[in-house]
Amino acid sequence: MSRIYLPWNASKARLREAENARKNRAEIVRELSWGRVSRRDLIKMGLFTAGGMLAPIGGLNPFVKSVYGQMPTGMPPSPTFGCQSFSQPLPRFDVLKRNPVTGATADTLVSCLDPMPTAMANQTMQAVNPALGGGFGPIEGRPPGAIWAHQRFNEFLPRVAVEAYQAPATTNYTYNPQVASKYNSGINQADGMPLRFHSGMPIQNPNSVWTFNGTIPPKLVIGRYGEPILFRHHNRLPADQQQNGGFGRHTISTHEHNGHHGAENDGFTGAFFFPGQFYDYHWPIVLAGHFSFNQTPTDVFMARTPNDAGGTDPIPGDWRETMSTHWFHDHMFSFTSQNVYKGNAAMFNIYSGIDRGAEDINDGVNLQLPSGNSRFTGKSWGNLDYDVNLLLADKAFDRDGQLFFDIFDFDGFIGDVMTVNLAYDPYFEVEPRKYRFRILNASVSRFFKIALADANGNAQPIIQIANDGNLLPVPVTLLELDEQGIAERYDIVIDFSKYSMGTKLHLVNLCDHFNALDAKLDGKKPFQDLTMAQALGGATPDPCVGRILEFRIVRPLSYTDNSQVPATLIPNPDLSTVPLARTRVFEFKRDAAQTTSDPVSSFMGPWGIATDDGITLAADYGRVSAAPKFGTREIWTLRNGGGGWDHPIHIHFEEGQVLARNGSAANVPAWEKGRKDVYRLRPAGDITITMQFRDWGGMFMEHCHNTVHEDNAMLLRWEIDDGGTPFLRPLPTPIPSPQGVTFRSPDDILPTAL
Amino acid sequence: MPMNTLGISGSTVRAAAASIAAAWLVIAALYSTPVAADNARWGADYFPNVTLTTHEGQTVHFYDDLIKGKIVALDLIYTTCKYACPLETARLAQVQRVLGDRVGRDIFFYSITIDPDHDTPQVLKEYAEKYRVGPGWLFLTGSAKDIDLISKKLGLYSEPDRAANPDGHTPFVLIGNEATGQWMRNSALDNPRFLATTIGEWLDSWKTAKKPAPVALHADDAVLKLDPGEYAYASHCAACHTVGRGDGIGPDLRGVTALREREWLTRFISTPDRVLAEGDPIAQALLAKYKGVRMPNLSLSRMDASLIIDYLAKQDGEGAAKPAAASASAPANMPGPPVDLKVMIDAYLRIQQALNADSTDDVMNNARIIATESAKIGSRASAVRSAINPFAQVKDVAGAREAFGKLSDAIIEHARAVDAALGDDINIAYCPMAKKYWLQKGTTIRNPYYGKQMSDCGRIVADAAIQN
Repeated sequence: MSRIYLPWNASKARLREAENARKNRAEIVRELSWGRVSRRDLIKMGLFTAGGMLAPIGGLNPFVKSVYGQMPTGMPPSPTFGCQSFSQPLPRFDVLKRNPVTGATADTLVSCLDPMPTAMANQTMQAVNPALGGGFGPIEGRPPGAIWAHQRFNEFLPRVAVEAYQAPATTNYTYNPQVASKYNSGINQADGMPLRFHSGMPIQNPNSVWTFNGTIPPKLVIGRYGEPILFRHHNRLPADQQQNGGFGRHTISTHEHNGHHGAENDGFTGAFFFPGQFYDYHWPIVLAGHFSFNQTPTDVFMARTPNDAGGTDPIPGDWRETMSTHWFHDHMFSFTSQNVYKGNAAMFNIYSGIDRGAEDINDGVNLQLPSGNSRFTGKSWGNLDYDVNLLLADKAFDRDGQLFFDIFDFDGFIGDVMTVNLAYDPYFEVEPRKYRFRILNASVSRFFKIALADANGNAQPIIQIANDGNLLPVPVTLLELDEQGIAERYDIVIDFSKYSMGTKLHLVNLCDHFNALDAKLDGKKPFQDLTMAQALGGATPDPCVGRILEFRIVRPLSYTDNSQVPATLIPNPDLSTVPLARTRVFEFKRDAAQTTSDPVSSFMGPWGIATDDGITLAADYGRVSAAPKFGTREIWTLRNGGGGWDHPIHIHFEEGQVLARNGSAANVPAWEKGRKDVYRLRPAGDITITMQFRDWGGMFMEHCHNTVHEDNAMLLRWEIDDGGTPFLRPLPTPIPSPQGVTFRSPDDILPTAL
Repeated sequence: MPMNTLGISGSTVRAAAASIAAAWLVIAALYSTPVAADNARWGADYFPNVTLTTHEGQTVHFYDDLIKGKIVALDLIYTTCKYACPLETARLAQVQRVLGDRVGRDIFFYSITIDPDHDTPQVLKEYAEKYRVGPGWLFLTGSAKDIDLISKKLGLYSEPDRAANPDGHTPFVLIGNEATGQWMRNSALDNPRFLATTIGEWLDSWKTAKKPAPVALHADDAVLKLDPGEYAYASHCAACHTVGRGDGIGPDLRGVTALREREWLTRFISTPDRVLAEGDPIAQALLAKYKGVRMPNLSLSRMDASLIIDYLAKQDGEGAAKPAAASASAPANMPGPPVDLKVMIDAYLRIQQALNADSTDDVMNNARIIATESAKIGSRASAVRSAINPFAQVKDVAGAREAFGKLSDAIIEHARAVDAALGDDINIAYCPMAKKYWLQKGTTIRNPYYGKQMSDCGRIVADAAIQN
């Protein structure tokens, strides 16, 4: 892959020269885009190739930006210290320890957690670091009181406790991939693993990367249905907010995406906690419809969770809502992207009777997807041998090779160094059989489009089995996956059995973010999707396009491959029995005009609800006057009003089904026919989904991904009034401080307007 | 000239020595400079230092004079804006009032015009006066190129789309602390108290917050009952209007639903710019009367306007202007369940006994217990909560005694307010030298302020009248 940018240690004079050249180049493309000069002219001038691409003239550097150039903020290219691609093994995820919790009531819980978890936030006081204002403050950062208590704590008593510490970068001495070294490309887990992206790159300073336990590889939580988890997250970040390596905020709030639980455990953006505190997140792990769904005998047979004896136990709810692959990450208001980029991201595999992680068990429920053989491993669920989590993230470094982020790039930050599981361009050793990969896009703005290439650059089939962590109704075989937006998870199966020993294949990214018109990497949306030939041939200067992960067939099978990819996976929930209450249209725009003749300025924010008189309103509490009714479903059309952006919209709390794209069901591709929670709007597109409202009748979080919260003090909750009608009720907003949480009502009117 | 064995002249050697010495000085200087904060990258090397002119006609440099070392809130406006700018400026004016005299002292507000051709310093001055802007808030103009550069570097830039959105700007306010390198983009239209808390306290991790940090905790908070019309009014109208408290930036809305026809009101609320453009006489008269401050078009629909009109009508119907719906912060002496102060007072007594013995043994631990108990009680114990905070950083007996006086007052007052018994054989005592009160067991004086030096100094008082 050609890289037409300057080496990282280029002299100042060279950089200056390059900056001038880049400025000239930018002027050229600008003139071209405005039609003041034609392509023919440019070719004649030797500035364009015949193919229409900007010629790679020496000294032209697309990434070195001048302060006075057209680009808002500038960064030089990230140094890669001469590290070669595919020269280090892919480190598999580090599994967080599951500790048992016993006890029959909330008051008699026994676990390793100290203090014991409580339904309401623990308000025991401790001294607060003077850097945070001194005095005393509570040990748990969760807002106090009944509203923020774990809902139904007594019904869903935690049975597993997982603890983690958000901490500055350090070496990992307790790496547990929960697989033998051969399944981990020969990595010896007993070796200490310092935090760096490649053994040839500098070790990251403590405040360059902040992550779970301060270590790599990224962390994995293993869970199963019917076994509630209490996740205790300690904040061990520096108390002095200045010590942050130039980006990131030491207050955090952890969102488990897309758990079906109340907002007190959802990581509300305003319920953040401080260094020195912890926050208990209670993840009940229940099927949607837990309280409301009437199970037929078939449902009873299928709605199961694996037990330790190799069998299954029944669970309530609709088995068609089984979820498999989640992730959790920071959700701190105004700092989410900085903190997630800095390392606050992890994954969560959820096992069920259908998807139990044991490919040999054939009990009429288990789909036998690639995972591991329980007779060889001794584990009847949750085998990871052939079930691999992949975290894709683009990064950037400063001149010293330390992680860097442009905090003023509110349009979207695109990095120029590709990492998989936070390792730079790694390789992964495989056996000639089926593997499952759970691919998460953990970038902050970059979209990916994944394909598989053999040694000759020919696309190889990939079977997509899940979208947003939900198994599809039927698997879909593709030569390239759909564009994958931030937070989307695609589970795929690759069958390596037809390749001979020693073969190498590559996972390839086809999604190009280099905006040739602006001559820079563009965070607003992908610029184009390339063909395999273009991506492998270096058609774009985007360094994260092309080969990103190498597979090497290195050894024969450890045991026979009993795994399957059945013809049907999980059928969609049957909607015909759920009454349709209403339809709504939500329109997203940045600052473009709306459909009426009155121009609208952007403060209306991303959410708008179209009404009968055709005017788009901002969605806020005052307008959602008719609440979704419990036990019904609604059809929402999400429309992207502004062509300049591609929005992945994430709706918390419930999975929805895609009914139509741009008005027609025929436009819904096969891999989107399942349940999703992140919906790509695509520039100027619209998508129609159906969603149900049930169970945790609790908080509906007003959610906003990358952009500014208009009403970030707004938290709403579904309630039922005396007449049985659900309505939206606003709650006092928590205002956390190190000395404790106060509450404020969102309509707080000042006594005088003057 | 003397030559050494190497044939190098002495003067050359001296010159060489001098330059080496100089080099060492430079190197020493480099190594002795303090390690910069992690976020020094967002400083002089990042922000442009272009020249701007304030609304008072002063010339300033953007980085050196406006940003360096300061906590700032910055937005982009233009004075002829028909959309969000009026509300944006009115909102920030509210935030300024909440922050009080901190604006101009350690917090600085800046509004930069994106229409410098029209918005001269004089124009900006008039605009600022219309919105009753206080000191410490500068309105700035300059060359279009420089302003574009600033807005791009700050991430506030928005590409104008000639057809759809000619003004091309967004109602964001950039809040930042240059010294710590923390910058965030918020909405200028948000709840003003929330913005004030963010700018004044959160941004600097409570280091520059008002001391002592008053924290009213809520062990339990009730859900709110918000009227949609009231909420719509509060978030869109209250920045410029009042109901019955006189004119603000815009007219007092008391009685407006009786004065104007509903249809006119509906149109004026949802599309005021169109109403004005049509030459409507009422709209024109209002514009003249309110000094050219335009009613902004906030994309409210007819349904929204209806909600607001109904809300206003209701206010009139209920007589005089009512204060807003009860906010969630409860006053300190709200009646509540009976309070048992035993745990708190036992911990207090242990501190008293320690201080009486000139020791700080276990003071911290007992203070922690008092903090926990007062948190459980909630907002009614907020005075105790404030008083206990200094104990977290207490280092010696003198410091503990200093804080102990206020703590004693707070507990005595709290017990009185909630009508709780202090406990068996617990008495209030007074030290005439320290002029402070305390609680103790029994009637034998054990003075915590003077300890062993004068343990019996003081007297029991029957009823402490706390003197401040």
